[in-house]
Amino acid sequence: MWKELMTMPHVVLGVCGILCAVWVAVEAANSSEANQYRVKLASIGTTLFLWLSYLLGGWWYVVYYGAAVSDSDKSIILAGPWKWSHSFFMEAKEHIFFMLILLSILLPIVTFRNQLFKDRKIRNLAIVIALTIVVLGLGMEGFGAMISKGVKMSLMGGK
Amino acid sequence: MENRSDNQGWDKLSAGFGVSFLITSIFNGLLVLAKETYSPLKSLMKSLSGHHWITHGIFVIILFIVLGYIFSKTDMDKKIDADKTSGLIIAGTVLGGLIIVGFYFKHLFE
Repeated sequence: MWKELMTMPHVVLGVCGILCAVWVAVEAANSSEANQYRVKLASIGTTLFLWLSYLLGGWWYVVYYGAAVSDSDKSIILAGPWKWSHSFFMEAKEHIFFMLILLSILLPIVTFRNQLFKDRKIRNLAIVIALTIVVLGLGMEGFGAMISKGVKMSLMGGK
Repeated sequence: MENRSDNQGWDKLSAGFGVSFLITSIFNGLLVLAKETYSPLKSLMKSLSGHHWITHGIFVIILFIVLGYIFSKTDMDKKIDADKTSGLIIAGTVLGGLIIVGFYFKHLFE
């Protein structure tokens, strides 16, 4: 039960990171001297949630997903009809995720070290970074769904 | 309240890490190609941390921080403004993503 439950935090924390990035984009688009603390708060939230998602998801991936046993998710997928849910979706997901981690480091650097409300170009940069996190994050959620479906297809015998 | 305007002084660290993102994102994709096509590299990466993916992440994050720090010590902020940095972020994401997706694409037809 512990193993199954621990798949949830990775997904939930990732969604929280995406929501914080949306928050950054909205605050930056309406930037003023008064909302600078909210921009910074949201950008730190994005970083924290994405890093926690990375560390917990990474731990689950290394310890459980790819374990060399017959009942690991990877083994189940590769024994079934949707092998590509691992060989494409998981392989791509686990490496594209690193770009999200880099952007989660860059976002607070931009929001903390610049006054967004004073410069349109810097404001737009913060919005671009935040929205890129949103797009990649939503992609990761979709890829994760395909991986789960790959396990399901194997267990259902490909029906 | 101060006015919203253009051309404020631009932070060196933001410019440096923006450039670093482009390079590191492409490196991330190329490292996937290298380790998946040259198994001794994948084995070496596995031996360093116990799993090639953990080592991959450590390499990428350390490179990003080191390059960002180095670039921020240069006059990169004078050469590249925030608009250009936005372009670098998008380019890095697209190129890095395409390298990875392109490499694994063939598996979709297995």
